[in-house]
Amino acid sequence: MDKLNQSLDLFTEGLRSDPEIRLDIRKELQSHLEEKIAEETAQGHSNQESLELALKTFGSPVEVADGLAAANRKRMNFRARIRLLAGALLIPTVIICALVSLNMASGLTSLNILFGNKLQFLNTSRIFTADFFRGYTAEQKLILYGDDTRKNRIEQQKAILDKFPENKVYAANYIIVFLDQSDGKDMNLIVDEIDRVGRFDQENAFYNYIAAGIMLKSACDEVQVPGENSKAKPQYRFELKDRALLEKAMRQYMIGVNKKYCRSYSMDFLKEKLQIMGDPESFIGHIDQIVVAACFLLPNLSQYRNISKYMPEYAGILIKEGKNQEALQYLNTWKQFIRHINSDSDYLITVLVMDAIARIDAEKLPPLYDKLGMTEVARTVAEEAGSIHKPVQEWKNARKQITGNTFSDHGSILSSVLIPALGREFTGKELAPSRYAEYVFFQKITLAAINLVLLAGMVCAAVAVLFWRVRSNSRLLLLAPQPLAVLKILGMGSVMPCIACLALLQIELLSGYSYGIVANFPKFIAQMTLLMMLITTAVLTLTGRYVTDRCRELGVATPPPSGRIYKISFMTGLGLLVIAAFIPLSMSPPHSPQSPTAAILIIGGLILTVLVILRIGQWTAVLFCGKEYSVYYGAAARMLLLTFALAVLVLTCIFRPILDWREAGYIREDKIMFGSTESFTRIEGDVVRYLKSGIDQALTKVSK
Amino acid sequence: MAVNSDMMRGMAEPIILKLLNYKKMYGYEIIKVVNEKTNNAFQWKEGTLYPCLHRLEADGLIDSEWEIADNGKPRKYYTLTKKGQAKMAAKVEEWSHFAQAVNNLLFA
Repeated sequence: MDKLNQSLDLFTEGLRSDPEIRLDIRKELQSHLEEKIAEETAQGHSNQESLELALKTFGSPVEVADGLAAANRKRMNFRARIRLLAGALLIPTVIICALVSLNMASGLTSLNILFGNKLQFLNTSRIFTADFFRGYTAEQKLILYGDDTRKNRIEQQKAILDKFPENKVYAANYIIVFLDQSDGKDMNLIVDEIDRVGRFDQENAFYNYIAAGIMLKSACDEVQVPGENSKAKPQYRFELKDRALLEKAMRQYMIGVNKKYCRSYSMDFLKEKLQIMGDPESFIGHIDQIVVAACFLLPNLSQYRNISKYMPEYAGILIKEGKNQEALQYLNTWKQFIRHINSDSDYLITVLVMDAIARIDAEKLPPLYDKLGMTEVARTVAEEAGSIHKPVQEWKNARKQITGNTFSDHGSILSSVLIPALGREFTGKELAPSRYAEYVFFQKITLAAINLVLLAGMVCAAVAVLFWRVRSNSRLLLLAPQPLAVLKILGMGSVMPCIACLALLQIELLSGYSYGIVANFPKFIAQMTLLMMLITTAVLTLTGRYVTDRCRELGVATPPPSGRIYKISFMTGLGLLVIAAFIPLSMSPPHSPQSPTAAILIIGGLILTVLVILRIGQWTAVLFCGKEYSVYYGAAARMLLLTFALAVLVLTCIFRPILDWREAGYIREDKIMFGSTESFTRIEGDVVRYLKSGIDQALTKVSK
Repeated sequence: MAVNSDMMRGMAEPIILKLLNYKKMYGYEIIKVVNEKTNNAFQWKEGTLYPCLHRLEADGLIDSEWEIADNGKPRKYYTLTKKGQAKMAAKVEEWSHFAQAVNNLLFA
């Protein structure tokens, strides 16, 4: 039959550029000739004679080859263009997916501010994400991040002031960063800088207070006095180190309390930054917002505390020295100081520090008034300072009353971290939008992980194509997939599993989404692992089946199918994952370490892990001893390259927008967590406003 | 009597379309039916059938599909598409006019 093969090669000589078409037509001609030979043989001719007769009636090889090449030229050119297009699609796919995956990490970029811009890799991801997607202008970037080409954070933030030299908000921000980063070292330099910058804002007591606080820290000290026993509350003793500096600091303080207002402008700057960032439409956008809010430094608070600690001590020294009038002047400033600080208390922590100062005043000032013989005033001061402390005291008491597991059971991770300390209780229903937004966020991470697995699959397939091409030393079969076959692979391999999973997750009884992700962790992991397994294995299996069928049509050798044991084990593992993912809540108590879900998940996961390892081992072994199937494996690897790339496109272009849309919907619906332009959460802003107004009322009363 | 191959040129396509209008067929089967019905009058070089089939397929007039035959061997079957049916009707009509005209000239 060598002659038959030689003749078939000659007939299809003009189709060399498209191995699939050549094989297909070769097979068709072979089938024709074999049937003709069989008929001739049946009529009594020898095999050789039958072959000769069949070839003779078939016609001239040159004429047939030319005819076939001409008839198929249009088709071959079209397929060559499709191949080029498919190859060109892979690169943009990889870029799109990389960008989408990086966009997920945009919340981390702001985190770099916390580390003083030391984690440059986070900035790199920011370049590809936030800046790319949001399109910040150079000025907006400067306000958000400072000039991160400068060497340290002080200089980076100073760049904003350099650009807008007389802006009070940026001036205060620069001083705050300076204060924080220099950590009190080189006091004179800081005080000089505060003096220089503070000149732009003459009526602001903020600069005087922080200058006074820094000087007080150097002038005085608190020394811990050993208690009677280890359980006793530690006591501190005042120690004067530099009298002249103490007096200088107290003069600054006195200048400050006589000014009109005290503004650190922290909230103004925060609001400006958040306005640039826009309303968060995603969970990660909210994290970004929280990080930006958390990055606001409050080193001025410790300076305020220094003043509240040392001013009474200074007044005490003056009383001892007989300078009662001067001492009284200082003692009488306490309300104005608290009023100033309260007006600048925009965060919960500043309200609490202000409250602590009121408590120190209530404890330290009355004895000093007593020493001055002003017993009645001493009593009034104790009462007034106590009344200022009352709103916070009441709020703290109410907070202690909160019991139960609402947050740990039904809250999202974020809400259970940020909300319980605020002293308000919420129902599971009220916590639902933020809980769902968090679930969708983790679904997006799963989608990104699936994309990464598919991308890794594409890389492996590309390596396999190269390997088989070198090993078989031939042009490997490149299958031009039928559009319907590709649609079937994508539909059944990626669209259907996603739709089915999303539909089932809508049913809370099955999804477990009435609980927070921490309480519902085993089920959630099972759901996402199942989705990942379904998509990757379905695309892989359907593509493999298509290539196998096509290779059999073309007469290309294909390896034997997987054994029954492998198939049964795989289906068992997958079945266990399905059970773990959708076992009704009543059968799967959350929080329980003996949760059947966790047990089923572990068993199913172990089975699938073992099978995946075995399969990878099998493919690796094939690389070294599967040469007889090299055309099949080469064709399969090339086809997988295409179907994996298309699956990534489908998942990214269809399901990512759906998840984004759902996430934005939950964020709009939420009334507790999202949408605050002044605090970590919307509810924290409410609490701060409530406490501040209570303190304001108390201050108004004591003024009367 | 064998028909001159020049006369055959241009006739192959309408004949194939007409045959496929009855049922799906594979290449060798088409040859056999033509030979049988014309009593071997058409001396086709069998290999030239395939370029013709592939041209019709490329033009969307016919479709092909591999199937496993009764003898267990794969065969490529061709079927007529809707576009092919319309084309076939037009070609038959055209041939009818042509034959009528030729007959009028030769046998009038």
